[in-house]
Amino acid sequence: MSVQVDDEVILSKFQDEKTRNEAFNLLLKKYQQKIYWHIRRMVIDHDDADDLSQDVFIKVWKNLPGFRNDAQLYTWMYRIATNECITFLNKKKQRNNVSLDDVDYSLADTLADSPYFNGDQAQKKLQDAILTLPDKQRLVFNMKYYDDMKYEEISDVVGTSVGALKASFHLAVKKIEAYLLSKD
Amino acid sequence: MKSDMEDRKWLDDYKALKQVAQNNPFTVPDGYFEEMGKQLTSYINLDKANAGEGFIVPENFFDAQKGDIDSRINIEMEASGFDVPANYFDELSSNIQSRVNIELETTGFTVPGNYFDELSSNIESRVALEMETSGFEVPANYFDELQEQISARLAVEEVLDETDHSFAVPEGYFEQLNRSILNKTLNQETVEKVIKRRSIVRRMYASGVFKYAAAACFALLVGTGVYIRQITDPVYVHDNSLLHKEISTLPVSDIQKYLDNDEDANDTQHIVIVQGDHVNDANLNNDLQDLTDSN
Repeated sequence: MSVQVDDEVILSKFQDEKTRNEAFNLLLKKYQQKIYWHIRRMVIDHDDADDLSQDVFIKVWKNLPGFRNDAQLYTWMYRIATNECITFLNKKKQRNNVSLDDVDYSLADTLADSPYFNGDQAQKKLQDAILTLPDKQRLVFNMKYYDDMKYEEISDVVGTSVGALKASFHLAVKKIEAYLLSKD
Repeated sequence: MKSDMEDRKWLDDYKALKQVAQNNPFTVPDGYFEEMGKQLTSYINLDKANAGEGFIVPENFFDAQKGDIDSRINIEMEASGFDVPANYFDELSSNIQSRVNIELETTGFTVPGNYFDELSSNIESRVALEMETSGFEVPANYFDELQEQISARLAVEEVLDETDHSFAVPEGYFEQLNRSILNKTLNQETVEKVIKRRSIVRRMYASGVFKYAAAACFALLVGTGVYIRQITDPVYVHDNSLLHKEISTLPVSDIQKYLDNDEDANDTQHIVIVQGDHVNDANLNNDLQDLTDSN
């Protein structure tokens, strides 16, 4: 089991031009999969998630010299990834002339056709239920349910207050429960 | 909810959700994350290159570049068999010129020295020779004197044209003659035409002169009529004296009656004159003689 390097070490190594590449490799090892899955759960398709993940890390590479430690490193990276997902989904809606109500059906079709989903029927159903949520509510649910992030951390990512996040998550869970029970 | 959901105890309230396995149902291709790392590293290196941070060259690189290129070209040429002597291209132009000269000499296209300078005189002499051989001869210096002769003849003819003054006329005579003829002929017609053209028919009754003439004629007629009437039937207006005024009030019949009854010699003479009876003087003398004899 690899030892996770502290964010401070990564940042200090990154400041030095000689060790910048090493720091970036450490950063990749630490946050690569987290960022990828965060994106994957939002866009469903692996190829789309691959493109977006690389875009995120390239932005991290470019903007990391200006990182001021006013937030945690991974919440900063999550914020970049979240914005990339929102932008991508909006563009997809515009490109396909899909209405806001029909976007969840489009992602559900992607999920159903995806070769990189090996969940059981219940997990499939859960994903369908999650896709019925609005994008931001889906983000909150995923970060809470799958990543076990704290509300303060989620607040740093999406820019919403902790109370609003709790309410949003509560509503999301209720919707999913109702969806799971209605389809039985 | 039982808690602020910082832990997973809140799932107890949602049985349907709790029954769903919490493992990640999404998968990735084998070795994806390792490949992703490599791809990201290459992208970063490419990004650094595009950003211009890697565009650095060794010192004196461009100074040595020309020599490097030349040496590499030489190496490649030697390897391919294409070789040229030293300074080949520098001497190439002079070599080409000398070879051209050599080729010209070998093909026979040469001319004697000063050929073109003597060409004109040669042609003239040959023309002279050809003319002699053709039988047409001219006097000596004929062509040299020909131009002078032509010029002199032209001058003579001009003088002859100008000096034909056997019948002289005054200066400007012919111009004056033309003018007078024109005045008597074309200009006259022009004047008449102008006059004729200038005559304009005007309506008499619209003219003011006609009005005055008509008024004068009318007055003359009226006056003439009055005069004639006066003569034929004069009406005396006796208003010279009081006697005339008194007598003028008397009826004419009374005056006639008085005159018939009370007339004297003076009245007789007046009656004769007024009535216009012809007076026979001889008879009147005889009557007066009888009257005197009787008294």
